[in-house]
Amino acid sequence: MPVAGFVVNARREDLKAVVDKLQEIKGAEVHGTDDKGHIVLVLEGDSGEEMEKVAAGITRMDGVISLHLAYFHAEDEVEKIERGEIKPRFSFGRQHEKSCVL
Amino acid sequence: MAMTRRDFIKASAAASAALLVGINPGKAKTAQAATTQDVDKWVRGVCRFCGVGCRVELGLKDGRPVALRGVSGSKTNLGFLCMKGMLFHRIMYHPDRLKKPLYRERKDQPFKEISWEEALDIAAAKFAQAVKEHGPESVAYYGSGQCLTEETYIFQKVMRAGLRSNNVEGNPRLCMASAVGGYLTSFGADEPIGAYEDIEKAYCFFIIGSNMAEAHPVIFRRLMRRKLDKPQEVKVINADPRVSPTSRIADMHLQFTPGTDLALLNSMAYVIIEEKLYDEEFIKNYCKFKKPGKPVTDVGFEDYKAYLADYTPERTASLCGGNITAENIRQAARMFATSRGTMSFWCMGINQRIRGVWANNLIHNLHMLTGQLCKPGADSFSLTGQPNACGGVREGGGLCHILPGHRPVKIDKLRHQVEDLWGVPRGRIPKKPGYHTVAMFSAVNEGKIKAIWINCTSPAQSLPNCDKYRKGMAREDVFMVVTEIFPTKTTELANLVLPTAFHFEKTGVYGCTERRSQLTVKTVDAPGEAKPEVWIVREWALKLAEKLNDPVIKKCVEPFVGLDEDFDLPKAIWDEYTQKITAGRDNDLRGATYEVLMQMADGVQWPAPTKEHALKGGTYKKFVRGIDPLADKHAKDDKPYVFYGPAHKDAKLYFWLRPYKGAAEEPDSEYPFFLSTGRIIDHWHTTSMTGRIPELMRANPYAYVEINPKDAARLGIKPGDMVEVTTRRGKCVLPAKIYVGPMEGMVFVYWHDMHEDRMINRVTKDAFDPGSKEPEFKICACRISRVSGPKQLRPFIVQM
Repeated sequence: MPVAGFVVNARREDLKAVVDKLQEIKGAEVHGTDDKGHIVLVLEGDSGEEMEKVAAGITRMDGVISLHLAYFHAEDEVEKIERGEIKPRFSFGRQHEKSCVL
Repeated sequence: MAMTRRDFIKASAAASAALLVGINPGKAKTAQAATTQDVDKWVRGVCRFCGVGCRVELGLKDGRPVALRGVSGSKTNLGFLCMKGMLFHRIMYHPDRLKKPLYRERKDQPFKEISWEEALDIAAAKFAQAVKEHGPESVAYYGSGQCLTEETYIFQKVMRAGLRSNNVEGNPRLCMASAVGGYLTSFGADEPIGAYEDIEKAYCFFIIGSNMAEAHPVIFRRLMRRKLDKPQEVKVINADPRVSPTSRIADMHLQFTPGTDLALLNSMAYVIIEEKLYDEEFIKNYCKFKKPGKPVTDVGFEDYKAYLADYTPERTASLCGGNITAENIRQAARMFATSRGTMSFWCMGINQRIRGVWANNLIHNLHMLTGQLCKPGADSFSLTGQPNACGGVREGGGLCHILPGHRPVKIDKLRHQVEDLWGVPRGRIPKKPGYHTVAMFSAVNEGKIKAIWINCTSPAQSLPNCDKYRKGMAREDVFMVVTEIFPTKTTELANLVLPTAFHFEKTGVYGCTERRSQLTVKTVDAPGEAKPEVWIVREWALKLAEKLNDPVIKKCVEPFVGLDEDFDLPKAIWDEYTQKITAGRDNDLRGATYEVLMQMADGVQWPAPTKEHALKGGTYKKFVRGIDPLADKHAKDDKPYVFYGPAHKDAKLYFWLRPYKGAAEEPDSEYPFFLSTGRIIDHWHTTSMTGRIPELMRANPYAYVEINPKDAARLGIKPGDMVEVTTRRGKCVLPAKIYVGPMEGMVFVYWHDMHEDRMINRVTKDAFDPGSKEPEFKICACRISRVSGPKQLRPFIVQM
C-alpha cells in the first residue's frame, strides 16, 4: 500500500471546508495547516493508480487550488509488481484507457 | 506506543510535506527518527517527465527504488513535485519493459529475439547499404527531447561527421522550434534570458497559449503562490481560446478566437505606444526595428508605430471575438507595461502555429517596448515540454539545421570549427541542412529515406495528420530501428527494436527550460538486456566504420572506445561536448564538468565558462553585467546589459514588424468549427474517481472532445454522447464533454489517446511554419456530429 505526502493549497476562506472534506477520504490524514491555505496531507492507498485517482479528485474539489506531491513510498507495490501479482497501468501516453461505462 | 514501520513511513511523508511549507508536522514529530528508516538511502537526480527540471531524490531499499521525494530548497521546484512522481516505480518495474533486441526482416512478420551482436550488425548493415546504394541523404535519425544530452550529441556526431548526413531531427521540432526561431530573430540568442527565480520577483504574469496548471504544475505553483501572497499587487493575465485550470488564478482571461493571437499582441503594442507606456531609454540603448522582406530593412520607431495603426483595440477586439473588448486589451497592455516586473509564459499554443515564430517575435516586442527584460522579475519566457529539449536538442545539435553549441550548419566558419574540433576532414559535414521533421517523414513516405533510426519518441502517434506518415513508416523498403523502453505505435512499424535503459538506469545530463544542466547518475540496473543509448551508438558506429570501410566514422567514436557505459562513457562524451564544442559559445558549459555537477545539487545554469562560476550555480540571468560573465567579457561601454547573442553581430535586440496571420485552415460552411488539441502528460488527472469518493467521479480516462454548452445544445449533443469529429483528413469518434472551456465555435481534444478511433493527430493538419517548420497542431477546421449515446469503450494497450 503506497504512502504519499502532499501539500494541498486551498483558498484561505475554504480551508476548513477542504480539511473536513479531506478527512472524509479513506486513508487520508491531515497533519497540519497554515494561514496561507496550505494543508499537509498524507494518503494511504491500495495502489499507486488508486492514489492518483484520489489525488486527481482532490484537485477538483471546490476550494482546492493545487495539490503537490512531496513524498511517495511504494515498496509493497514494487514487490507485488516484481512478483507478477499486479501489472501496473499508467496513462503516460502509451496506454491509458480501460473499460469504463460513462 | 511503538511505531510500526508503516507509521514511520507515514511520518516521513508528513514531515517531507510539512518541511516544504514550514509547517510543524504535528503528528509526525517522530519523523526525524523515521527518515532514516523508510529507505536505505536517497540518491539525487532530476525528474524526466517534463521540461521543468525538478530535483528529486530516489529512495532505495535493498538496492531497489521504492520511494521518491522532493527536497526543500531545490532551485527549480522548491521541493514540490507533481503527480507524475507517483509513476516512477510502475515504469521501472513494468513487465512490458523491452528487455531484448527484437527483429523482423519484414514488417508483416512477428518479431523474434536476437542478440545485441546480431542487432547492431543488422542496424549497421542496413544503414551502410542505404548509404552505399542511395547516398547519405537516404539515412536519418529522429530523436527526442527526452534523450540525455550525451545521447543526442553522440548520435548527431555519427550521423553528420560519420555518415555525412544532416538528417538529424527530433520531436522538439514539433513543440519548440518556433520558440528557437523567435529567440534567435528577436534577441540574437536562443533560450530564455531569465529564470524561474524571476517568478518571485514579478508583478505581472502574461500567460498566452499555455495551460501551465496542467502541463507545468510545479512552475504554476510558484506563480500561484506569488499571486496568492500578493493578491492585490500581482496581476495575472491569461490569454487563451480555452478556459483552463490555469485561468483559476487569472485577474483577466482574454478568450480570443483561435488564430487571432498575432493581432492581439500587436494591439497591446499599439496601446502601449498610444498611451506612452514604453521605455524610451531601453529602446534607444538596445533595440532596432526590422521590416521583414528580401532584404530585411532597418526602420525606425515611427515606422513601427505607423505599422501598428491597423491594430486599434476596437478593430482588434472585433477580430479576436470571444469575450474580448477594446477595454480588455487596453487594461492588459497597461498591466503589462506598468508593472515592476512582467513575465510572459507561453507554450504550444503560440509555438504550434502557422506563424509561430512571428507570434514569439510579437511577445518579445512587448518586452522590448516596455523594457521588461533583464531586470528582476521581467522576462519573456518560453516553457518547454520535455526534460532535455533545451539541453540536448537545442544546444546539442539535435535539429537538422544546427550543430552543437548553437551553430547553424550552413555557416562555413562554424561548421569547419566543429569539423576541426572533432578531428574530421573539412567538408565532411554537409553544408545543406537535412530534412526537418515533416519533410523527413514525407521523404520516408516517398521512399527517399531507406533507413531511419527513431530514438525515444513515437512519431507514429505524435505527428500531425499521422496516418499519412504511418504509411511511409510501414513501407517494406524503409528499414526502421526504434530504441525504446516500451512497445509503442512506432515500434509496431519497426524492423528492429532495441531496448534501452530508463532514467536512473544510466548516467547523463538534462538541461531544462531555464538553461540549467543537471546530472543524474546511474543508480539501478536496467531490466534484462536493456542498454544505454551511448553504448548502442558507439558499438553501432564501430560496425558502420567496418562495413563502409570508413575510418572517419571510427574517428567519431574513437575517444570513447572501451569506456564503461555506466559512467565513464557518458562522462567522456560530456567532456568532449562541453570542453571543446561549447567553449566560447553562448552556452559555454566548460565549468559544468561531471565533477562540478555532482557537487551542485541543483546543477548549473549556462553560461558557465569556468568552474568557479559554475560552482556558484552559473548564470541566473543572461546579458546582465555583474551576473553574466560573458556580458562582462563582451561589454564595450558602461551600459548594464550586453546582448552578445551569436545571431546578432550588432548586439541589438530586434523589433519585428509582423502582421496578423490567421490559421492555415479556418472554419468554413463545410467544416464550421475550430479544432484545437492539447498535450497533457499527466493525463491520468482526468481518470475517473473511485467509489471511495464517488462525488468526485467526473472525468473519464481516455480522450474526449470538449464542446461549448451552447454548441452542444444547438447540435443536440449531451454529456457522454459519442461524437464524430471530422476534418479534411479523416475522422475520430470520441465521447463528448460539455464544458465552458472552449469558446463557442471551437472544440478541444487531448492528444494522448492511442486508440485508433480517438487518436486525434490522425485528423490534425500538418501545415507548418515556413520559418521554424513547426506544424500547426493547434488549429484546424472540423465538423462535429452526434453518432450515438454513451458507449462502453474498450481497453487498449500496445503489445508486442
